[in-house]
Amino acid sequence: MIEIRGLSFSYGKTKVFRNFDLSIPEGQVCLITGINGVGKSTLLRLMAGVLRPDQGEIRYDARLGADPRRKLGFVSDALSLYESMSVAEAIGFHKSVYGLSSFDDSLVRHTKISYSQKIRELSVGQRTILHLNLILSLEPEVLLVDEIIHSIDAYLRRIFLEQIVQILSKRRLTVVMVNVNFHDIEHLIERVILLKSGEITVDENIEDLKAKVKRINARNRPESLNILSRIDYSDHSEFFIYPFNEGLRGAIEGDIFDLNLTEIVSAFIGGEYA
Amino acid sequence: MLKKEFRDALKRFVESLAILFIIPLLYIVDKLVTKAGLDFASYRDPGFVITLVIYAVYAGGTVFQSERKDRAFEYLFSLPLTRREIILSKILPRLGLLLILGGVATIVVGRGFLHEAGIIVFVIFFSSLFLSIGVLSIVINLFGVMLMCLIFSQGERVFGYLLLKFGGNFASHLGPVVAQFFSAAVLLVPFGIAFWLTFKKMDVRPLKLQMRTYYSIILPIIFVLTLLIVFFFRKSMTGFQG
Repeated sequence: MIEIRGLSFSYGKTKVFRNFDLSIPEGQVCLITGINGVGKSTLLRLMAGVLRPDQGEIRYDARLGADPRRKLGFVSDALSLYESMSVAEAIGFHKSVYGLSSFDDSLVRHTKISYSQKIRELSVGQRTILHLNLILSLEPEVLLVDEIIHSIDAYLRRIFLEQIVQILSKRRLTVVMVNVNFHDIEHLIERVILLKSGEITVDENIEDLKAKVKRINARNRPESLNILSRIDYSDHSEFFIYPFNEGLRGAIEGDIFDLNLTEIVSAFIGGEYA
Repeated sequence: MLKKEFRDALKRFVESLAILFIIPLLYIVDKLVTKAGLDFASYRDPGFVITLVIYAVYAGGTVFQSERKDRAFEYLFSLPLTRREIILSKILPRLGLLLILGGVATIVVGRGFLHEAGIIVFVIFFSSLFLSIGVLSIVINLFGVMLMCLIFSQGERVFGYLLLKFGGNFASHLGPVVAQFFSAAVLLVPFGIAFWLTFKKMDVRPLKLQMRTYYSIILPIIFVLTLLIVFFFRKSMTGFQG
């Protein structure tokens, strides 16, 4: 369980969060999304403890012990590691800090990473894989992953996601992902949180969200419906509707389509840019 | 963490020791070319002092260098290490190697070395360390250390004067060391507090957004110490001449 209460945070004079609350139950796979610069990665860094709130608190389940970071796996978009270390040194350092007796290198094994290579010599994708492998070796209770997983190729991403699925099938792992592209992680996600100006504007279970967001292809703007965004074509327009309920179906002129998560989030984000 | 920091400190130590290899070279050049007639000790003793001072500045000032160079602050702060553990594992190996080098210098040069350079080397090390949190350049750090050494040496004279005036017999035996100790404490304790308070709350925000506490302690301290030294100088100029 992650409990955020009354969180305020700013970068100098730029306020990112003011009195922000969020609760993520144990074992939930949660997606945080929103337009660039809205504070998604900042929120993840606050959860990981690498940023400190100006006010408020972030509490983890007591099960995680006095220092939750011991059971918290965090991969940020900065991919911060000691770059002058070799892969072997980085693994050794990680093992010693976390007191691990062994290291399961099942992700790194799939890559062409050599243990003698310096981390600064690795590609972004290779660094991501190494970082993901390091955090998975902790057997984390909470996984905080920034949108960096898109820097790894489709094959390695699949292997990583398979590992996550495997862990999720064995135990209750809490996952918080920050992302704007979801086609291969959609099946994992249970809850979607959309941030706007440091506040939560959408907080829905994924199935509810899919039921509430629809695309309507029509010539004219559907009356009395809240339109998130629209795309105009020569002969018709696509209207993205939220919230939609089944009672409206008969009253709408046009074709109604279900959306996948990527399309849903694009509709929300498109609305913010409009 | 301690192992990594020891390796880092050892690297700086070996780099600083390079100066010691210049000593016999200078002596040979003297014997063969310039023929200034100086004995080996005339090169060896200042050589040790310079090496020790350079290592003290270098070891203290580069305490966060691997995190800055490798952009690893975020990784470091995500590890399950308290700030106390981090800073101790950074300071202890550096301080240990400084003590070893100081010990070797004392054995080679003699006990006088410890009296002359003992406390000042630690002032240099800790000044450099406490400045390193807010100063990214080792050159600017060096200027800061020089300023702090200047304040330290003037403070030493002030305390020396006070001990002479009020210390009685005690002052004649331990006066200079005690004066150095007090001067170092007055200078380093507030800097140490500022350093610790800043490091304790440090995160991955840009550095300039995190230095308010540090500067709000450091700047008034430097201002007050400078004023005090000027005041003492003016007040008892004659007492400071010797």
